[in-house]
Amino acid sequence: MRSRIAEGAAEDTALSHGIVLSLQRVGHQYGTRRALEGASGQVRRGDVLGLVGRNGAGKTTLLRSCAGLIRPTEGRLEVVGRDPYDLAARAVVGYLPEDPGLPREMRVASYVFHMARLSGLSRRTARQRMQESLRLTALEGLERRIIGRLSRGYRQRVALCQALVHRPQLLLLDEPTTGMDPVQIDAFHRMLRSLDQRPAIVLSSHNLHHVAEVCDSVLVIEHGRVVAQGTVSEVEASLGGVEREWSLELRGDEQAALLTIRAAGWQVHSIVEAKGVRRVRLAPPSEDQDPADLVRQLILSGVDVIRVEGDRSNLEPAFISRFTETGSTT
Amino acid sequence: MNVKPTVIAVISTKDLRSFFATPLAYLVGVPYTVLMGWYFYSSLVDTRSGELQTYFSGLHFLLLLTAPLLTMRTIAEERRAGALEMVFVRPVRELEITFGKWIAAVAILIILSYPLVPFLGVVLHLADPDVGILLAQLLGTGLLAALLVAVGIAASAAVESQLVAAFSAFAVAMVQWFADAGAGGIPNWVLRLAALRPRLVSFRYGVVSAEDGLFFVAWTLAWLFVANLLLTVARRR
Repeated sequence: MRSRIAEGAAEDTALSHGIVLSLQRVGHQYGTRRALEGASGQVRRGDVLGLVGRNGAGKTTLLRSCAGLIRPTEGRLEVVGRDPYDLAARAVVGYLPEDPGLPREMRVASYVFHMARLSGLSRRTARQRMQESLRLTALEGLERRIIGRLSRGYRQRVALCQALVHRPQLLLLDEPTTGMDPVQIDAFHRMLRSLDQRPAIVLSSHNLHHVAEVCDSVLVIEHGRVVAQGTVSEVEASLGGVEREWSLELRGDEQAALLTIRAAGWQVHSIVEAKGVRRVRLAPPSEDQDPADLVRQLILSGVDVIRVEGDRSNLEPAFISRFTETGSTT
Repeated sequence: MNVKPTVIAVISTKDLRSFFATPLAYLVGVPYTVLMGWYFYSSLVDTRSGELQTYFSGLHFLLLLTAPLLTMRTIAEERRAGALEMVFVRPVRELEITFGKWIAAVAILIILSYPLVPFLGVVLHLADPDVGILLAQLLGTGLLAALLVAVGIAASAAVESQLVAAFSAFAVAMVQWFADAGAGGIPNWVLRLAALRPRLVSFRYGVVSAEDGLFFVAWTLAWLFVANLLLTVARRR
């Protein structure tokens, strides 16, 4: 057992480097089944780490370990330099599980206030933070509503509200957008970006476009093992990325357009014509190639460019391609 | 261990409010109060005096049935629904949860026992009961309620099904209730250590002894210890 002095020193070191979560070869075994193996890394204040993997890959096990709900059977895991079981560590963690157990009979405000009080806040501070949190999660006006009578999307917001109410330094989100409609998902991501004194966030999601948009780094887990780790583009490359594709809508001389595109080194994947507009899907000669140059050349050659669209991220196709190729099933 | 009374109070308040927002409050509360009234009426008709031994005897048995129903969902249901997990990630000790839930359940039982106030008022108005005996009877009833609630909390911490929790708590309470009747192979002195009935009889007849009081306090703490242990195991599972 580590001494209090050692723990205090670890906490000081972690805080001075802004490290909120530190993983050192963390692993977990349920009986004979290995659920997680060798997860390492650090998450600093303000960073967003995305956990990506198929169902049963080990994402929830990692999040639950970070929340202090299960103790890793291997490696070392520290939250602000402390054991996640420690009360001081738990005071700085906000956790939103995939299926949050909300008391259906309670009113929204009462529940959020209760969770704020459980986090050790005084009545006055709890009330103030509750208001802030309700505003942040767009639950204002629903304070008196009974949780069990809310839609799934709103219940998810209540769960998020309780996770944020004590201004945690580490926010653990397990499939946070489950049950939300596209508008709510968009609002959720805007909310994450707008958090004051942004905490370190660990986010597990199956929506890889959103992961690519929101996360600074990504950890890909498969069968409990970390198979790729790094920034979004590093992970894309590591997964054996798929070519980034762009889509242009053009009007005018098709031959001139194709000549210009090929001369610029771009590769045409498909051309679909409808109502005099050609939709061309094409790949750049290199990853960092800017389509603005191509658009300029097309306009100079007399082709009208109506619309330019690019894949926001290559993460999802790379992920699907990798795990379809390996044919692994869970 | 540094247990925070504020955290215990927060947990109790939430449980108390939640209970009265569920149908269980009425499903348990209404029959409980109706039966209390029935026992009281029967007791008055039978004895035609201010002596309430028969009434308290019936009330004690009613508590044996009611306490498990009141406590069955305290931990079991929260664990099944995942609500307990939301509490476990907060800086809250298992002991604070155990005490918080116990206090809430005892408070619920006290609130549901409100008819005792008018009943005792009637007795004090119509008859001339021995107030000392009456107070001893109330003390015995309170101590029994506290113990039965602790048994219920322990049973609720042991399993995930509310019904199994209620049945287990009732079974354990019955074993303690009838322990003085004897059981093959178990020495009498052991049975006496667990038996509830002889202790309650003393209170019912106005005899208050430190030994009987300690008996109830010790068993209540023992069951709360078991509940806390089971909760700790559940948390680390």
